Amino acid sequence: MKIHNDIQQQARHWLVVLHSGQASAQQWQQFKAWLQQDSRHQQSYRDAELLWRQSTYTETVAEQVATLPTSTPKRRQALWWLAACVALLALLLPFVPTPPEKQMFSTARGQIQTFRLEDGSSLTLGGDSMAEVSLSKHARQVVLKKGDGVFDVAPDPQRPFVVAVRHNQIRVLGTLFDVQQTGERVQVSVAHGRVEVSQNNQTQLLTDNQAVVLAPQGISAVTALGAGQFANWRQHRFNFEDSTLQDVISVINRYGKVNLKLSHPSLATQRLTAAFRLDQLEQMLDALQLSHNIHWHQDPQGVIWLSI
Amino acid sequence: MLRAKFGNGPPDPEDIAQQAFMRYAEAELAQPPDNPKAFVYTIARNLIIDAHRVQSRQEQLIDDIFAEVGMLPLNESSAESCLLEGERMQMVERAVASLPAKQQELIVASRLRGETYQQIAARTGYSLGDISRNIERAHTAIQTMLQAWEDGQQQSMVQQREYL
Repeated sequence: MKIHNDIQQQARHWLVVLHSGQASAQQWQQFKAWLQQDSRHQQSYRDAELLWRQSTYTETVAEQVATLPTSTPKRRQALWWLAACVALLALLLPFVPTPPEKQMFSTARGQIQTFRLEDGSSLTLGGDSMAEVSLSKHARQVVLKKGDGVFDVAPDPQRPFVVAVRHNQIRVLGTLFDVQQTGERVQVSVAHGRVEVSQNNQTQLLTDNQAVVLAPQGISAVTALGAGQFANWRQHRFNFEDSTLQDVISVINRYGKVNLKLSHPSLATQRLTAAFRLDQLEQMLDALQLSHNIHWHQDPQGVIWLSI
Repeated sequence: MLRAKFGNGPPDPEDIAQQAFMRYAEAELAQPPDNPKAFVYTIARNLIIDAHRVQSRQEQLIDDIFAEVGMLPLNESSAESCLLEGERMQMVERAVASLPAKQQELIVASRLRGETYQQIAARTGYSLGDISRNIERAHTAIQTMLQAWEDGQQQSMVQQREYL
């Protein structure tokens, strides 16, 4: 969707005013009100601001870095303070109680965050996700209670790494893999390494670039992961194949700051195939109108309603 | 190479180089970049810019307002954006390079040094109106170039619609 030229000019005007360093409190208030007035204002300003910030990361600016003074006295002072704080922390560290065995990690809606675990593994959680981690001498166990996670597992043959999600167990030795939950469906994709997935008495071994879907009725056939398809949610990219509209909007609602709702329950089971980036949501919704005759509008509270 | 260009730091060029390689390794790109060397250089260069950049109070306020009105946070962070949006960043790069020297100077003052327009005016003698106008022009020029490029990309969007 093309943004109207006027709005783009208004956005640019705000950008110039706000970055001046002289904007008044009243102007900041007006800016906020302007953003809240219209989602197109938000989109347009976001584009303008992003572009302005990105202009910092260019060769033209880098050339000037070389000419800047490298270490001001003030900075050196700050470093000494930092060093003193680190030393103090090191002294206090033995008295800090050891952390409990179970650790909870969680993310808010729209948030993606990577957590480092004590064994050297890392865990990236998608929007509105939660994981309970317990590391012991003999085992490493993660319960993915909600949402999606990418696991980068440090090899340790003595301590298998097991991820439990719904009624499935995923057992690994050292690997990078992704678990995505959509409704009752759990998709496991492996970037590299070996992963054993099991549900009840059924097991399946996955290796590099393979994926399966775990549904209540069993484990799907193994599919090959296309190039650039692994854990795309980390870049706010989503692919859905023959998914229900309900599943699609529940994922969007977890990753975006928007709220999508269905105005009629019959829409929930509509099936669709779509690939999009979260910042192209409006284009995706426009396309939905063309392909499935599903209309959308945003109410004054910002909720996007889908209707037939 | 980094040392020749940016001196001995801080930040230490060796640390930066190591960090850049790590980010590169972690990126799991869909396809390897055409020129990995240039690519790692870009990451390193952006990390150095970050180390020298003074974040202005305005930026923080804008981020806060984004959060308050429920907008997605801006993820302009140097290393990430050049990984995910390689081509787009190349266009921004070219657009900034093609700006008049005065506008480039203002980008450096405002974006890198975090100076207010008043501080820039005091240092350079430009009037406040002149600074505002030139920043606006610089932004317009970059955005226009980028949009022309994105319109060229529209064809792939059309394909996506059919796919949907």
